[in-house]
Amino acid sequence: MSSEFDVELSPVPGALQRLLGVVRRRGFTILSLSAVRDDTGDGYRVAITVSGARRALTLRNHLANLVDVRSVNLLSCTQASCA
Amino acid sequence: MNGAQLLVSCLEREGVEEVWGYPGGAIMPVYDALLGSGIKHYLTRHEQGAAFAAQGFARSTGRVGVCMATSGPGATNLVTGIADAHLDSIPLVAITGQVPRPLMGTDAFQEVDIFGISLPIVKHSYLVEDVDDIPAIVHEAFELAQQGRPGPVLIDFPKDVSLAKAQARPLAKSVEQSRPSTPEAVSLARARELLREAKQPIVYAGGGVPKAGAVEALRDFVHVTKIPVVHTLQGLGSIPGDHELFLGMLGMHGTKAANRAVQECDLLVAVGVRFDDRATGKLAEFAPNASVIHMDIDPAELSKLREANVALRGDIVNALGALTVPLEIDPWRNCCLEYKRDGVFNYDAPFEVIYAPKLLHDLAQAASEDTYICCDVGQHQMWVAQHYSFSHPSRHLTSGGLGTMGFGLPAAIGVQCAHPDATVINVSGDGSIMMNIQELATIRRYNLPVKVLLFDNSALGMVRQWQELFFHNRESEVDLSDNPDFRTVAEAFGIPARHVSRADETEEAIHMLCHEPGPLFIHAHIDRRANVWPLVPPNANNGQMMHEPAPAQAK
Repeated sequence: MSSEFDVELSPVPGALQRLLGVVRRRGFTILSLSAVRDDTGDGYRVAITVSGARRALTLRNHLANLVDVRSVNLLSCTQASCA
Repeated sequence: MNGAQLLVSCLEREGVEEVWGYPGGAIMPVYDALLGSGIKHYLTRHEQGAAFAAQGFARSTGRVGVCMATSGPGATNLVTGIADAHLDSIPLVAITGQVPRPLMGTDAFQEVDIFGISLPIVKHSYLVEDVDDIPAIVHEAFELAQQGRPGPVLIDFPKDVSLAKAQARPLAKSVEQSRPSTPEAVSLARARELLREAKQPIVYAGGGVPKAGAVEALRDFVHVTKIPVVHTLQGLGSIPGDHELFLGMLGMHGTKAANRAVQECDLLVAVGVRFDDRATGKLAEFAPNASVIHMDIDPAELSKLREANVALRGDIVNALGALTVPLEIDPWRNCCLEYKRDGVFNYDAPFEVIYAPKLLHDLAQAASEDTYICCDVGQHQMWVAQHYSFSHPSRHLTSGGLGTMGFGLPAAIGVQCAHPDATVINVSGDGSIMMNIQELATIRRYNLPVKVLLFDNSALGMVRQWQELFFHNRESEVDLSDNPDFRTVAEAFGIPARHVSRADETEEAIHMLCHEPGPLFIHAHIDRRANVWPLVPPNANNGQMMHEPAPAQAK
């Protein structure tokens, strides 16, 4: 089951590693990833699609707990718990 | 003022009065700055001891504990203590020296990427790259360590930054922390509805209760609703151990009453818990008939492992207050109290050897309510949880999430530093004590009156028990019959020591633990075959407990 997130990251050392580390540790596999400087150059915009059997909403909350994550939105999800 | 001096000034501004650590090359400027500062530095004999001592301070005071070490091995030796703080949500700031920035990434002497190594086990981390960022970083680190769900924060401090001239000055400490938000009204209303409908509710409360400052709120809630309570390991003491409605710890080594009541309940009021596997047993069969009201400050815990019917995110104090209403559950309460009477522990071991559960039970009776018990990990840890009655969770320090052998002795040092006049007892085993026994030197150096109660069964008891029960009694690498003479070891460190091996010697040992003015090491020899009972076997539900065989069947 796949889930698509839009994440805004602070442009600080380790931010992307933290994000990817949480995805891996919480049991998800990355299907696609893009990270670009946002329009203002003040942060990163990360589009990430993951697959995993665990709740995507819980992953969203784990990502939101990261200090470097300014916002995280679950754009789409094929899990019943997201309905 | 250089960066190191600015760092120390910032620590002082945050109210830090003591730190635990071990010096080395890359952090020498910081140690130089500590001289003449208002901060007392306690030199431990291993960096892991520093991390656990800082944890002992934090766990017993609720304030941020601070530890420091140099780069490379100093930093990696902190890692276990940082991970332990992460899993038990302990506010810790760990400061590591780092090689100068021009050498970073060149495999320099004592260079290790502690920032990268620690990423999965910290709440946040910083690499200080500009000397004038120090005030903001230190201030933010302390706020992050404490706010919301507490946790460890790492500050990696390159040596050249610590020697650079600083223009910035320390920031003012935040006067007070904002309280977390109150859960949504609609969720609270739904929770009240579930409570009113419940015929068989149980409160399942954990370490999030004391961390939220919700001990009194929980006690009020239980006093009014009269719902029976079970605790996780980290929750013990939130409802006093001698409270009528306290059924004991739940889970793998929980009481019969606690596990039975949870399995039969129709509503689980989960307060500051994370449905840890040691508490739930087989998750799919945990409290199978219960609806769940789950209160926690961390939204990532809500419905992480067990779907909550009502998730109350935010301030536990306010949530409990909003749900504190009388309930009509007399038949269920009486049923639970009957379970409790049925499952009472028996301390009448008919042997001359020391029975650890009885010794701990008697110690709890004799010790003041303010006594701090710092456990290591293993059988003795579970015996403490089962048989020592706690009046408050801050009095029980135990490594729950990571389960770190070697935690107890340095944690006791941190507690004693924070509470010089308190009785602080490290309850340990002969496996655990050897993990950080060098910290006896720290006790001696600072004349700390820490007490050690060592249960010695000449084995890694918990592993041996599992090998006996689940691996056809095939013992593999659990024999510790070649232990050193612990009494001699303690005395070599300058700690008075006493050896006891008979049941009739325990009364005097307990008296000494409670009343000796200085440090003391009690070495108690116990039966190698003693197991922790009851026990939920692996992959079983909490209703499938194994109990101690009757004496005739005992091996």
